[in-house]
Amino acid sequence: MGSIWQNLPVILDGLRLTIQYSIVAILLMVVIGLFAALMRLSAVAPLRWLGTAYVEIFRSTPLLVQLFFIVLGLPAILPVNHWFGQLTYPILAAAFTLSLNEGAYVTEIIRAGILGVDRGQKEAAQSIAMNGFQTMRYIVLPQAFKRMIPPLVNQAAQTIKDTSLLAPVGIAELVYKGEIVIAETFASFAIWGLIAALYFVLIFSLSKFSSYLERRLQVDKR
Amino acid sequence: MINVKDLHKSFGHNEILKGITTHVEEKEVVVVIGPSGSGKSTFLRCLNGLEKATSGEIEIAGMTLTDPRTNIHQLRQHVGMVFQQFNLFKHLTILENVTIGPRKVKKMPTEEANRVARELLAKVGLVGKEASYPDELSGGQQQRVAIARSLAMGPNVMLFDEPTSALDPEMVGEVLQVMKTLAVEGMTMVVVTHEMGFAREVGHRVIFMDDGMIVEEGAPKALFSDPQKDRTQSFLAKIL
Repeated sequence: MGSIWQNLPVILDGLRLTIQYSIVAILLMVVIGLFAALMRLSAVAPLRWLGTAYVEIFRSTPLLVQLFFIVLGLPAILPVNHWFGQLTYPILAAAFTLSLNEGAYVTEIIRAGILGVDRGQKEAAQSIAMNGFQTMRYIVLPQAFKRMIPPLVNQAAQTIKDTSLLAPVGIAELVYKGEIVIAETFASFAIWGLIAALYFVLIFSLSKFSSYLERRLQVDKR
Repeated sequence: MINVKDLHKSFGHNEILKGITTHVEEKEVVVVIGPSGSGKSTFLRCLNGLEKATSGEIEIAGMTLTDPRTNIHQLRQHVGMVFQQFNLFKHLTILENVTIGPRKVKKMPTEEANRVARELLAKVGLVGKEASYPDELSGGQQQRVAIARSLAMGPNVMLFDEPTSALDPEMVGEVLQVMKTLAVEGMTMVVVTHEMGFAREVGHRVIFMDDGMIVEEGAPKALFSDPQKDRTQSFLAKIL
């Protein structure tokens, strides 16, 4: 039976994986959320429906069920393991499912941010002949982004915590590695405590970074 | 320069414009007056497509706005608009507010756009404010920046939607002065305003609107001193 200290590298490896999945999911969720928000605000009705359907489906089912369904369920009817590789598919599928799930919430954050920008700003942009894309890119989004930072950071914290749901579908990350170490050391209390502390450090630094960002943007007035 | 034929505009079942027909010559300054809710702002907003006409025809700067084949963005490069609430871009500096249109829409090189913007800011009396943000300026200053921002696109027509209504009284004069300069230089202007002094002094023609229709129009002097219609008389009696 190895000691906790001997197993520390295993835990840290899990932490590294958790950070990796978090970064990927946070980047992807913002990209997905931006596109889905623009779809929901589109003048084209089918795009609006598609955007709404996406948000509703992912918000109204549990992330864990979505992960089981796509990571473990899909290979039962499609040769996805063959297409992407036995080892690669679960990782890709899990990261993508997590991003889609968080993206649904980000969609609503970005949509609210865009709708929160004063209508006069859009009209002024139109009156100097900007098209829809230019109005969004140069006038509306930069202003919307500022007010979206706090809820987006909140969602990012949620995403970091949600990566722990990758463990039940067999993806190695912090919780998964922790379970391995516990199976070997039986140090349940110490390991779970350590894992909780590591999540806390991750998310607490993120929220500190966010307050710093907000303060800076406040000073810049941008 | 502007030709409007039987313009109707409804919001749902609420008909705001009930058939407007008028014409604005090149270099003409037309002042639109009337009680609130008379449709004068809606009329102005139809002229650059911020509101879509329900029916009727609008020709402006040589293009037919009401023709669905007309490129609205192309058209708006020729039609400047100044809003009651200024609507300066809050996240951009004063200089950027004026240059962003030429840079992004007309693809003008930044250096040239900056040069044009500085000239225009000098023209509206705002030298030294280039690096400020809109909320650091007074209302009158913001509105003058808004005028410079519109002029930077090199419009043939300028539309003013109650440009002084949101200003403190002591700032009205500085904005009207800039508008007067534009008028003297030969800019074609349509101005919705309650400033009767401006209408009288600068306007070539005054249009009185009420209940979505043009009740009466004519030279300022004639219309103010000898209004023909009862409704014009009672409106003028209240505000003059």
